[in-house]
Order: sequence, then structure tokens, then C-alpha cells
Amino acid sequence: MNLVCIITALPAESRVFIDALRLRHVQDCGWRFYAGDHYRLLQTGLGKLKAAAATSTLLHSQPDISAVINVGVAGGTQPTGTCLQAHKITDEGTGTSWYPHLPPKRLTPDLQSTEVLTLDRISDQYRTDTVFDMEAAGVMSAATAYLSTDAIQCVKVISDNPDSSVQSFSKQVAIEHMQRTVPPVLEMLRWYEQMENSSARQSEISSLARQITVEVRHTMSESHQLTRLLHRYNSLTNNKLDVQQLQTLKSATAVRQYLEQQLSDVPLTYE
Amino acid sequence: MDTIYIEKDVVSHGKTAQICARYPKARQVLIDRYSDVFNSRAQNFREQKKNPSLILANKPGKRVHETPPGYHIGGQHNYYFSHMLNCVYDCRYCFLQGMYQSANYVVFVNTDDFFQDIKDTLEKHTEPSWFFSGYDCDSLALDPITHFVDDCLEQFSKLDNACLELRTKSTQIRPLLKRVAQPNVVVAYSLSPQAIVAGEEHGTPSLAKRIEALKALQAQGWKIGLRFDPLLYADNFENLYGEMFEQVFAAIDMSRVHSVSLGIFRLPKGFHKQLIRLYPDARLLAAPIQLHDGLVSYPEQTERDMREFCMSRLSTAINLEQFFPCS
Repeated sequence: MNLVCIITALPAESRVFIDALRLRHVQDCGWRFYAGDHYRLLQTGLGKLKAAAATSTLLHSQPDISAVINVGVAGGTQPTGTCLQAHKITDEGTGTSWYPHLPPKRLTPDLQSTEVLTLDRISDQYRTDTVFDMEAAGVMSAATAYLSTDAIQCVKVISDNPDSSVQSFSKQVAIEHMQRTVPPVLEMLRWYEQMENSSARQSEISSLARQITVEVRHTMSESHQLTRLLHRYNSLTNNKLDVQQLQTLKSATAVRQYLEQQLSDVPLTYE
Repeated sequence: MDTIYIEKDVVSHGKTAQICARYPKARQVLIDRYSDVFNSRAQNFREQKKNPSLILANKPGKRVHETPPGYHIGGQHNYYFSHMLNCVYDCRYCFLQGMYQSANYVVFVNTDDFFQDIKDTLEKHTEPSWFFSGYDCDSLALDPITHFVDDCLEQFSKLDNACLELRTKSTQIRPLLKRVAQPNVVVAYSLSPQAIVAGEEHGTPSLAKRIEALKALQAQGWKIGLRFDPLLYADNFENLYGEMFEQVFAAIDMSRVHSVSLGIFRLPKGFHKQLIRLYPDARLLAAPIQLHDGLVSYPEQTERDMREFCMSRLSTAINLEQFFPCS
């Protein structure tokens, strides 16, 4: 199962997911962090800098997180409570844009997509083709250092528009609007959780390699060679490797020779 | 197709409307330039391949390029053009996954500009020029959406001095079968033994279906080409390829085949590295390899054995004039 993390800015944005996913508060380094069996929630605080710093810390310290979804409130011209996913996220300050590779439409057929423009301060200069938020670009900027754009999504709900100004925004109103994001976000969470993760197989091989290199000293280059040989072995045979025997060998060269010998006995055929 | 990115410059292009009409439920996202999406960082080719998006764009600048040396089927002047980037199929050995960050399909809708460039290129030579369309994509696979073949055949029917190769693994041959065969067009199929099709050419038509398509095209008078490229190493190589040659020779009139080419698996070093990163468990990567002149391929002796075996079988069915090795 893949681990997926929701990233929000405010307590009012987090509450609905803490309840829906039965997450528990976990003491972590400076940010509000919640955990369940398969899901995590990181509450970063307001603004793109905090969002970027928290996202970066999270993904650096928890490399097993395979996808993140930034969820929160936004301003736009749509009716309040309209839920949207971002097909483009732009940092207004730098002009940098990101294009999340969106999940299949069948997951959330009614969810429209939009551009999200991340501002440094609140604005009421609403635009028809864009919604405003204050974190999405920070999350994207940090998360793309660890994850690919198919594993970073952004879902926003309209909390203020020309008819309902940001001044009338309250915690209770935000929680009500955020309820709308729960069904599509849960769909995405389940999809990511069940997704065949190409990196899972790779981490199995990496873990096997680690078990060997802990016992037998390998240089960086020898470790790469070892990983390649383990992948080759894996692609040619379903036989389980005798790791304990490999751990008793005296050097990286001996490990390599052993694996090469094993591989030379396995034919490469297509049937 | 769930998402269609559309360059602002081509929003009102007729072909854009035609393609979008095929996918009325797709999300449409306006973009400035296709490269903003296609070349952006942090993309995962393997994950995108599961649910690729379509990008409709204008191709500016140079649209017709000279082919690399050795890429020809007997012509003196050889060019390629790419009306789209990327391929609907998912062949493990494909160089496109090393070349591009993205698995999304880019379709250039300004086909008239391509044809104008082809005409301009023709004027440089008095001898016939060859134009290859299946270099960065499969020529036919997305044809029901792009209608590229109809446009292309229409244009080439008016060009006496131009020859066209459509290279494909696709069996979408309806637009060809509904037309009278054109003497300046070769429809070339990439062929591999069925076990390799199943193991490494994901999402492609079976060998039998490709042979059926070749037969149908040949029966209607189209010139056909056979591309045994890339040949992949296996310990049962001779059985696999021997059986495939028998299937092909039994179904097709080899004396009427326009051209046959043969190439051993090879990839630039960087592309090979990317392939390992994307698919470390791919079976074809378990074969012994060597680096020669920046290209990753099999050891020389292995290559020689593979080539000699194939040549010995091919020489029973074709003349030397029909044969063009790939380098």
C-alpha cells in the first residue's frame, strides 16, 4: 500500500480530513502532523513559504510517502462551495508554473479543473479563468524535488467570490465548504493507495541490496553494480536469492562474481 | 483521452476542433507553448504512460530534417518529419522514453506547414527524395484521431518526385485500403517474434495481426516494407526469429516486398541509462551489453551471430536489392 499525505494550511481545512480518515496528532518537527494507517496530513500554516518548507521537510524525512494532495480554500468567481482541481499552478511572485498530471477523469467525473494562482497576500481582484490561493505553488515547488507531477495534486474549494467577500470568511464557513472536497479527495487517496507503484518493486531490490551491503563493504559504484545485478536476477528468475549466503562472502567482488555465476546459469528466453 | 492541452495559437484551427470533437468529455486546458507541459521537469514517463494526455500544438521552425546516416531504403536524399511526438504503444526498447520527459502525445495541427516544407525540400533536388514519417511516432496508430494519413496521401499523390514511408505497428489501415495504392508510398511494418511482442512491445497488435495487415495492403497493390528492427537478443533467438521469418514468408509475396531492413538493438548511452531507471526489471536489459561509440548494444560476436542468422534466412526469400541494413 502506498502512503499518501494531504497538505493543508489551516486547522479549518484539516478538520474534515482528520475526522473522515480518523487521523491522530503526531509530535513532529514544528508543523501540525496527523497520521493514520495509510494516510498522513500535514498542516503547514498560511502562505507559500511555510507550505514549501513544511512539504520539503515532510518528504525529506518520510521518503515512503508516494503522493501528496494539497487541499484548501480559494477565491474565485465560481459559487462558494465549488470544488475544483488544479490543472495548472502558477506562483504569481516568480511566474513559475507547474502542470500536475491529473488522475483519470473517471475517478472524479464531476470535478472541474482550473488554474490556481498562488498569491503572497489576499486579493479580491477575482478572475474568471483562475482561482487564488496562498500555498499551492509552495507545495509544488518543494514536492517536485521529491515526487513527479503525477503524484502531486491540488484540490481547492471556493470560499470567497465577488458576492461573498473574504472578510466574511469564518472557521465554521470554511469547514462547511471543505466538506465538499472530502469525496473527490478520498477518491484520489484510494486511487493513489491502490496504484501499482513502480518504485515499490525498486525499493524491494534496494532493501535487498542494503541487507547485503550492511554485511559486505561496497563502494558507491559497487553498490550500483549490485543493484543492477539484483534487478537482472529478478527479471530472469522467480527464484529467491540466498541473502544469508551473500552476506557471508568476504568482498563486493565476491558478491558480484557469485551473482554473475548465478545469472550465467539462467537463460534469457522469451516464451 | 482525459485531458487535452491546447496551445492558444491553435485554438481556432480546424484540426483542433476536429480532434476535440472526438473527446467531448475531456478536460481542455489552454497553454502558451506545448513545451511548457511536454518538457517540464519532474515528470514520470512510466506513470504518464498509464494515462497520457494529448497536446495540440503548432510546430514552428524546422519541420523537415535530414535522416541520420544509414537511415534510408535506397534513396539518395532522405528526410524525416514528425507530425506528432511520442507513440501510443509502450515498447520497452523504444528510444522515445529516453528522449522525452513526458509520455503525453503532442500532435502538431499545422500539417499544411509540414507539406509546404516538404515541397520546399523537394525543390533542392532533381532526384527523388524520401520522406519518413514514423521516426518520432507511429505513423498510423493515432490516425483515427489525427487523420494524418488521408492528408499525407492526398499531398504525396501530387508530388512526383517525392516518396513517403509510413512506418507502423498499427493495423489501422482503413484509410489506406479505401484508396488506390500510390506508387510513391511504402507502408513499412516493424516486426518481432510474437513472444517478444508479448514481452516487450506492450499494447501493440500481435505479429499475426500485423502480417494480416501487410497481406491486405499487398493484395491491394500497396508497396510494403518489412523492418526487423530492433532485433533483441535471447538464448532462444534462432527459434524465435526463425519461426517469425517462416510466418512472414508463408503469408507475404516476398518478391514484391519493396524493402527489408534489419537492425540490432542499440540505444545512445544516456537513453539506455534512462531505460534502466524507468524499467530496471525489463527482460531485455538482462542481456549482456557493451558500449561502442556512445551506443549501447550487444557484444560484437553476439551481434554478428544474430545478423548472420537473420541474413541466412532472409537471403532465401529476398534479393540483395531489397535489403537495407540499419546502422
